[in-house]
Amino acid sequence: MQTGLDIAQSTENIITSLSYFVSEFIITIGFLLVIIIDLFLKKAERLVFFATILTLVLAAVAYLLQLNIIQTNSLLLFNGMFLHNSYVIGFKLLALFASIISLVFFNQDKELKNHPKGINDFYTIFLGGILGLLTLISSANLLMLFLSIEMLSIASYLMVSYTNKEKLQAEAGMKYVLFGATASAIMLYGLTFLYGFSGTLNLYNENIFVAFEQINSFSASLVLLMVLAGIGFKLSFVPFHFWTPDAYQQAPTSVSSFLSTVPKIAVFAFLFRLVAPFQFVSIHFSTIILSAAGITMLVGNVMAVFQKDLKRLLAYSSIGHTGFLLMLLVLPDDSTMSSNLWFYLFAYSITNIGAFMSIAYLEDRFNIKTLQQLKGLGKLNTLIAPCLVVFMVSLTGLPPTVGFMAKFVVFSSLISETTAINFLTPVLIVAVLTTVLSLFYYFNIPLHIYLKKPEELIVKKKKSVIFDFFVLILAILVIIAGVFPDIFKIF
Amino acid sequence: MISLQHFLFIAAVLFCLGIYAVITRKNAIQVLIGIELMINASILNLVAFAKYDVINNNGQLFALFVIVLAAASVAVGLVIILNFFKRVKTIDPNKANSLRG
Repeated sequence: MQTGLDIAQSTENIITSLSYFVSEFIITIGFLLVIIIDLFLKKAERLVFFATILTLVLAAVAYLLQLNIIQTNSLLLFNGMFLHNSYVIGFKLLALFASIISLVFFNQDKELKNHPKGINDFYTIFLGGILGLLTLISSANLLMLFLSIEMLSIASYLMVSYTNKEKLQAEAGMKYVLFGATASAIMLYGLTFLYGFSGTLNLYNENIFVAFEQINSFSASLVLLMVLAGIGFKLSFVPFHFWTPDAYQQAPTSVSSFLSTVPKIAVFAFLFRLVAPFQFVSIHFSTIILSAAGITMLVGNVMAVFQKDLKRLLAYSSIGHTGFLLMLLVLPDDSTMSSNLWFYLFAYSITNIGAFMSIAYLEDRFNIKTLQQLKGLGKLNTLIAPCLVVFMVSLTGLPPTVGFMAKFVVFSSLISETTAINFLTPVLIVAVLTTVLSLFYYFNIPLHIYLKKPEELIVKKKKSVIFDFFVLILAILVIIAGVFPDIFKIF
Repeated sequence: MISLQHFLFIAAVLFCLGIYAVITRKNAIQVLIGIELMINASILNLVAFAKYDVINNNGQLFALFVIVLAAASVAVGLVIILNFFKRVKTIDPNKANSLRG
């Protein structure tokens, strides 16, 4: 560890780092541009939408170009603030891909569009959140970690409370913000001790591990638990999941779809880099992660069985999937861990966004919000209903969909480690049992759509072609990626 | 001579008071004040640790960022609480119990 960088060296480091930071600059410029357009032009809704989508596409292209240049060697940018390698870029591309789909979804969401102040402010908040998300994926420093998590959190508080006409929406928004602020305050307190024990803010400094070997394991575990509280809030694993069903149910459907996928990609991409080194330092760390995984899967899947509301059901199902993903973090090998994580997150994102889109469509057109109202839909709607069934099959993890491939990959990589890692076998058994349990609630949806007699259904509004198109594309993607998974494995 | 332990002790007391306020208060603004206490405990910790850091100003810099971010998140929190007050005419988080299950 250099005790003090001399100024010439650190300036040079900053200047060379700038060229790797193009996408973040693009998003910053887009963010400012959207504010300015919204201020000075009236009725600029369409222009703002195109500016936002152009920003995201350009950022993705910039990363794609870097992917060709950088192979496997890791770089530390801005004097150790950011990490830059092909894994980081892969996760960033996935996050940008999911957010571009989400953006189209926001644009179609009736609830957001009918807001009296318009949707333009929402796009600015969204872009700010995306910037925090990208810096979170690559952060290699405790300061950067806290900054980006807060950027993402503040953006998501505002996104959940953006439409607030009803009492319940205001309630969900308040619960979310109070819970989130508490969780990040606890995380900050943990981070200060991480700094105090090791004397460095840099996560890739050897001191941090040397220090953790010296202090007693109780305080090490306590500090790591505190840090996990803030991260766990973003991932909504048990016991930090209380906000999830409320916020997902009351937020506009597009926002729930965004929250359930994109921040999870970012936080998992960061967490896997945090967990891998700490496993060897604190013996209990993999036990903590595994027990959190087991409890999360149990709570998410058991609670989902009792849900009547479709969005609440998907919220609990996303908690269950978080538990499943957490299991992957104990894999000892970095490269298989990140590639499996990437593939599972990819599968989960396209499936979940597709499911939320179908639900938003049904809510718009038939005013369907609960399971009971789905009865007899199969005869009325011949496009969205089968697609929704495909998404449910994929969320359960049955062939020939991408969900099956993702679960298969996870199980096959974990099953060979059962002797090496304590507690892995019972958690794997829980995973299998909860997957079986999830059949009950996921297949309730096709059961209601096709096999139950309709009570009353009124076609309310005309259909939206863009929704039709995107849901169809996502359903086809789910099946193609399930049959030929190798196409989508970047690493 | 005030040692590092004194600072850490004060910070721990502040943090516990903050958590106590978050759990027990029946007023969302007071909950926000509790969160602010927890953040201030972390700021005190950071500055105290930074005194013993080999690189100068690392912890102090972190503390400055934390102050700015705390202000931002409290502003957002106040807006959302105000909105809740407009709809429900109360800011008691315990009254926000319509969503369950």
